[in-house]
Amino acid sequence: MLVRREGVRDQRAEFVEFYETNKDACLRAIAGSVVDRHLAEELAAEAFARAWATWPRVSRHPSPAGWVVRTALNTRVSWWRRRRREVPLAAHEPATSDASRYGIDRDVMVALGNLPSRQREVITLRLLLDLDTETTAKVLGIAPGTVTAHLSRAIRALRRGLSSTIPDHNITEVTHP
Amino acid sequence: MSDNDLLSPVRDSLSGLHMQTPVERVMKTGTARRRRRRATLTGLATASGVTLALIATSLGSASHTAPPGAGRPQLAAFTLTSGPAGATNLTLNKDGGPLDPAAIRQALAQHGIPAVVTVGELCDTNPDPDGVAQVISPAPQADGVTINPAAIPQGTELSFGLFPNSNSTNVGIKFHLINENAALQCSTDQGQPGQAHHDLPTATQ
Repeated sequence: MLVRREGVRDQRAEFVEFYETNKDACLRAIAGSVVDRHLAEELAAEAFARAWATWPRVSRHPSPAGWVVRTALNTRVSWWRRRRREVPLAAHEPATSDASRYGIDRDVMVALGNLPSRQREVITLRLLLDLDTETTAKVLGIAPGTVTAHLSRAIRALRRGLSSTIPDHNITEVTHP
Repeated sequence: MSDNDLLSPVRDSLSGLHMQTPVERVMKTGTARRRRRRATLTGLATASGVTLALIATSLGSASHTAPPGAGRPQLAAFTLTSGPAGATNLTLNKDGGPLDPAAIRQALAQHGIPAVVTVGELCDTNPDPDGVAQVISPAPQADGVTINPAAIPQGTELSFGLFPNSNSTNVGIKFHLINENAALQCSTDQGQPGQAHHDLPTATQ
C-alpha cells in the first residue's frame, strides 16, 4: 500500500528535478523559436504542466526536454488557431526594452525570426537543447537527413543575417588562400 | 567564420533568459489538467457502459425474461466522481463489494488527491497540519465525503481509515491531514470522544 504512495512521491521528486534542470534551456529554445520572451514563458509553463499531467509517459520519451519544446510549439499553433491572430514572425521584433532587460541580443532574435519556422525549430533544438540529429528528428517527427538539411540552411541564413553585426560579436571571417 | 563562431552569439544571446514560473504552479496546472482528462474519460466510459447495458438489455428482452434479481451486477464498493469547482466526491456504496484500500488510493491519485488509505486502522503524523476542514466536508449523501484537492496544503496528503463494524454491515470513515514526509503512526483504535481525528457519519454498506 505504501509502495504506491512512495511511487507518487518519487514521480514528484523526479519531475521537480527535471523541471529545475531543464526549465531555462527549454525556455530559451522556445524563445528562439517564437521570438517572444513572454509568449515563450507562457508556452513553456503550459508544456511543462502537460508533461507533469502525463509524466509516466513523458519521462520515458527519448528526450523529455525535446518533448516539452515540441509541445510548446504545437500549443502555440493551437492557440493561434483558436485566437485567429498572429504577428508574422518576419515582421516581429522583440521590444528593445524587453530584449535589453533579459540580455537578449536583438539582432540575433531578428535573424532567428527571419528563418522559416522549421529551420528555427531545428537550430534551437540542436543548439539550445544540445539534442543530437537523431533525437531532434524524433522530436520533430522528420528524417535525420531533413534535420541536417534544415540546420545547414539555417546556418547559411543566419550567417547572412548576422554578417552586418559581426564586429559586435567579435567574429572574424577567416579567408583561406 | 566557423559555425561555432556563428552559433555562439546565438546561444549567448538567449543565455539571460530564465524561467520565472515556480514548479508548484506548473504541477498544480498539470494536476488539474490530469483530473479534467480523467473526468472526461470516466464520463465517456460511463456513457459507453450505459449504452452497452441498454443494448444488452434490449437484446436480452428479445430472447428471454430474466427472473427478478437474477444477474444483478455487483456494485463497486466505492465511487469517485468529479463535482463542481474541482471538488471530488468519494462515496461508499452500501451494496458494494469488499473495500480495497489500494483501489481507493489509486482512484484518489488519479483525481490528483494524494492519500494513505487503510482498513481497520487510521494513520496520522505528529504534528497534525491545519486545514482539514477546508479540504474535506461531508457529501450531500450521508455515505461519502467531498474533497477539495485545491485546498490540500503543499507538502501534505490525506489519510483515510475505513472501519467496518463488527457485524460487517456498516462502515465508518475517519480521516486526517498528514505531513507527506513525516513518519506514520497507525492505530486500530477507532477513537474516543475528544480525540483529534475526524469522523464521517457511519455509512451503511
